[in-house]
Amino acid sequence: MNIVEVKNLKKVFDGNIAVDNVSFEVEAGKIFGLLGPNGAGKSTVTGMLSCLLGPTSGDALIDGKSIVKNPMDVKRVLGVIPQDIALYPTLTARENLKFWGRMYDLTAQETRARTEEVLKIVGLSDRANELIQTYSGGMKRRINIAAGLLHNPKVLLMDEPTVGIDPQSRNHILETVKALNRQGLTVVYTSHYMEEVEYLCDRIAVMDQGKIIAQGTQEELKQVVGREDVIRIKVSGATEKIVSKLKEIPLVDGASLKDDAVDILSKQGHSVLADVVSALNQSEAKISSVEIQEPDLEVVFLHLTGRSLRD
Amino acid sequence: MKLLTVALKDVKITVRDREALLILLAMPFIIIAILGLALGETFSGSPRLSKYDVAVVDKDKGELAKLFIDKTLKSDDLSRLLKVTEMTEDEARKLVSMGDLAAGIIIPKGFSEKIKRGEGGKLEVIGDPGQKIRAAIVEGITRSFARRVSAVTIGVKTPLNILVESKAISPLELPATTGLLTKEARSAVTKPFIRVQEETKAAERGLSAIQYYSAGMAVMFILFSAMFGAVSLIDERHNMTLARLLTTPSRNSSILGGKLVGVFFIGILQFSALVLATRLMFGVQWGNSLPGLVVLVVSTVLASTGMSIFIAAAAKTTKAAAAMSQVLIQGMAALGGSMVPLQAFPDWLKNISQFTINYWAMNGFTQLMNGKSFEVIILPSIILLSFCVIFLSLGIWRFRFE
Repeated sequence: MNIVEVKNLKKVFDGNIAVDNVSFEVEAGKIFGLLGPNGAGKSTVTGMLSCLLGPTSGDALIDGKSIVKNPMDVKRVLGVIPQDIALYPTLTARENLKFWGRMYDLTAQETRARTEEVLKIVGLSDRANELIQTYSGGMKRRINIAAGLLHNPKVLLMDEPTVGIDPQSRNHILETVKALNRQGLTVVYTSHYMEEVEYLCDRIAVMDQGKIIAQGTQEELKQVVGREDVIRIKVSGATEKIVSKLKEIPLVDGASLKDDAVDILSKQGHSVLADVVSALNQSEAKISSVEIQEPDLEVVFLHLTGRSLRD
Repeated sequence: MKLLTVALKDVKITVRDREALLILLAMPFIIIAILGLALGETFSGSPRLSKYDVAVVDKDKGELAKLFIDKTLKSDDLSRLLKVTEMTEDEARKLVSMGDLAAGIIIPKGFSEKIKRGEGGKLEVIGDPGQKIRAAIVEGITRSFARRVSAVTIGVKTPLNILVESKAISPLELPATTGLLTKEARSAVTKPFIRVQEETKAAERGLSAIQYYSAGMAVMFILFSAMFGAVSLIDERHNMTLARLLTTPSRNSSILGGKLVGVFFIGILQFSALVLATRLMFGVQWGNSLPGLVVLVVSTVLASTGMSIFIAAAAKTTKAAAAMSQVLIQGMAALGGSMVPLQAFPDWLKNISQFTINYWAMNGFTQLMNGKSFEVIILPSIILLSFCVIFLSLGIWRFRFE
């Protein structure tokens, strides 16, 4: 059964189309990923789903309630974790959660009980009486998540919940999302981090320039790449200029640079390998390893757009 | 009730904000203390009279000198103002020249006799140039006594002459008749002719500087709570807590209403604290009408609350809101009488000042402080509530949640 049904959502700002006829469904109890680079339109979609922005056209049903016709009903079943830390820094974590609990229509007694429960979920019960402004970035993110869980939502909408935090806090958040999902919570997870979406999500929609350019399970998406080989070259000193030159090599279908690796897409990987290595050697880049890999979501995006997720 | 939840959250945040507390409570209190104590009793052209020492040099030792000292200078009325000490002329001149005494009155030898003989007398007042107003008061009292003595002398002599000329009495009966008339005259001379305003005309007495500035600064700084309210609203928008509030099942009216109720609560707490503190620390009298004071404080705070949403709607950033507030607050405070009493303004400026919150609030508070009753705050309160309605309407119309 689909608990989220998004139908032809469109949002136009001052004549610019930010979201263009986006449609997807999310089955109850699953984690759905919305993957795309910054500016792809993901946050506008989450803004409309959380009833912050009215769609220019289209609609979405969450637990059968329309975001256009029944926004108040939608807000009661939807937990929203915003991309920004939306908390009061001079209140303690516990005071913040109690405030948000009351704003979600919980009684004083329910708020007290749920505050303690969500503090346990995010692992901050022992620090709950400290002011938010004294917390690390990761701890703030965890309380930011806790505030969206207070009213026991049926669907959790998470917008880039791990931006700007340390790996340890990031892992904690990812494990928390997994644990919540195991308890039956449906999650719509928005991110530009391919690894997070790969790790968490049952189904994924890839967004670019306001549109969904592909969606399905990870396997289905990887099949989009088809028979193309993915050559991943670990390299130091590579630049976008070098990557542009690599794209000009005959039979290379796409190239992208991510951290210290260059990904090359080609239907004849073995044929282009020598030219690619030669081009890199002529530049100032130093190769440390070369391998032909299974495609991942980064490669899928590269295949679909010719650009990296970070472009 | 979500409105109250939002309001109480804001009160809690403000109470923990040291900068806000400094501006809302400490600053006005310090300014009241500095201005009030510095300007003291010489404020607003209506000095509040405090008791001071005056020397009297009685070289006359006659009947009129005794009347002047005992029945006038040491009368119940004037003894509340003057502490009269008799001393020698040298002592008096020395103490006045050193500034230890505000003034000295010298009654010359033979003063009473000369007056009785109708030759006229002269009283001398020496004053300390550093205590001009006090010396002027003593001079005024002395001059007034002298005028009265002159009037009575003429008044006694003229009817006696008329009686003799009209042959209503014979010259032989003159001494007896004079005795009767001068008895009446003596009583006329000693009739109280100067009173301390505070006792008889409380409603018209002047305000002390500390009183005036307690009202002036409280009204001015209540507008700063409007600034903090506006900044808090814009902060909620920038920190995304407003967006998060809008994702909860809460009506926009509850959220905005809660913010405004929060500003109102903070304003009431601030004003009450300032009234109490000035009462306890400086003995400031805020009037005799508690209902009047309460209604006027509530009206003033409501006007300020309305101003907060107006600023929040007009300014996009907290910096812009703070700058706009400063201009509005300082402008209204200067024009509305929070800084300088309106008596000092030319008429055209007084007309402009009526467009400020401060003018009407000060109008009400100063009248209450002058002992007037509840009725005097009705018009100022209605106008302050009109400010609130206008600011609220404009603010709500222009405020954007997104």
